[in-house]
Amino acid sequence: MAGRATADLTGPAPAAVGEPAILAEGLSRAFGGVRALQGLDLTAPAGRVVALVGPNGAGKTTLLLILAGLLAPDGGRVRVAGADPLADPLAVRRAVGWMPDFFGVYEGLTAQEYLELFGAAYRLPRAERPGRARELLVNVGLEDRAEARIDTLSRGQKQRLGFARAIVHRPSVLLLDEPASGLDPRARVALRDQVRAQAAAGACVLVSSHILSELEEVADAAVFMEAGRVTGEYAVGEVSAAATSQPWTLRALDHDALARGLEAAGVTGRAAERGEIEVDLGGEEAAAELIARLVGAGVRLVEASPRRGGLERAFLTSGEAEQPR
Amino acid sequence: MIDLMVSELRQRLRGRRWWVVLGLWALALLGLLALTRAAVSGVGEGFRLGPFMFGSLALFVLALACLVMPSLTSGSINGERQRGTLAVLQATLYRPWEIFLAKLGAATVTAAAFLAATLPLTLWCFVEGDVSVVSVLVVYLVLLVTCAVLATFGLAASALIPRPALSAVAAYAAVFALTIGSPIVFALADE
Repeated sequence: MAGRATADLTGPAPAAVGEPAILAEGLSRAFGGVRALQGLDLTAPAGRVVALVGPNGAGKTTLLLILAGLLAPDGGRVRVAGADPLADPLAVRRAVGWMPDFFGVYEGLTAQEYLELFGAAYRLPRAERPGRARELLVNVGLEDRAEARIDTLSRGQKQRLGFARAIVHRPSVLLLDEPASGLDPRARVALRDQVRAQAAAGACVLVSSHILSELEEVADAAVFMEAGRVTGEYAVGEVSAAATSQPWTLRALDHDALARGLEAAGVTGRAAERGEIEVDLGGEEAAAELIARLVGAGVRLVEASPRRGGLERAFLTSGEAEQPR
Repeated sequence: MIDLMVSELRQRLRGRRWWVVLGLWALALLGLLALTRAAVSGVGEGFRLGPFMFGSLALFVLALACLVMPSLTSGSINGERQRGTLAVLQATLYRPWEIFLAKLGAATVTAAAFLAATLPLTLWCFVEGDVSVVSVLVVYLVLLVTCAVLATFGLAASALIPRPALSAVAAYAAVFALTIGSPIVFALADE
């Protein structure tokens, strides 16, 4: 309240030099006999989107609760935006925007009132709150529902409102737990753009989701979790940039002509779905060369793309993730 | 904190339940007061009708407040927990005591509205004569403080007990232990 420094309102506050936005070392937490986190280590830098991937019960939600300052770890060290949630919870809460996987909204308020309330909860100056609320409603595409009561909104609209709420105080660390659940495809794309915009503005975004193809499009890196530990890390886009072999999908108007063209180029292909042919290529240079050769040989090529799902493959081959629990 | 209290009151005012309870409250008190008035209509000279009616009204209000206040508050914290609205509030810069005070303030303002609804009945007592303005003010002040205390019972129960049904029972049990139980204990201890 009075006499305390208010949050930086102009934009995400830069983390201290050399300090990652999120730092967790040897984090552990148990609920009764269930060990949700067992020595988890994680770092995430400012300005990046890091995906948190793991099966149900891997401890993702527990980790996000600790980072949001709502749950004390049993052991280990945590720094969020340079602050210790145990020693200085308010500094952490000021820096963190948190969107849980399950949350409710005050059904009796309008969307505008709801965001203004949370503006107040984050000590935004009173005069600034209505404008900030309107701005956020435009950002998440709810401007025409600003004066509508929240109980008249659809599930997806409430989800978007929840995202707007999480960024009302321009957090420097954004924690999103399954943010896309309940969203239609267009809203998912919009959410992706907003998450990228937050990272571009300097925020560190940690996002958990089960939809790996979607995470791959928004994240810079992925962290795999299993049974309360980090079991692997994966830099999105690393595979296509590296010279290692990667599957590409090719499609032509005439399937047989494509097959002959590949044979002539000395590349072995595999038949894939929908008449496509899959080939293993050593990076984009090799791909460009092959495409030029095929087109030069008169193959009427309509599609050539690196196969998506690198994150999914990496996840399934990391640790014990593929074993049923 | 004030913003949280205002938004709590705003939501309450928009719900239909609140108006129904307020209407029933006013009707019940009107009925009780009318019956009281009828019961003493034949009493002879020297009986001060106004103070008797106002005293009866204060007692009825107190009794009904013991029923209404726990029900208004005993689900307000665990209910938010169940709906998933509490955690996002706890993640903000609000301190726990601010959330508590906002809820207590909202309950007390609600109680004030309930008391305001009894003002026409007090006016009736006043018209019957011999009721002093000072005693009316003092009685209303004590009633408001009592309502706020009753609200803390409901809030405590709803903070400590996760399930709203159980917290309501606990709040009523605490209120009745004090209103009925404590005189019994006092009487037994006096023997």
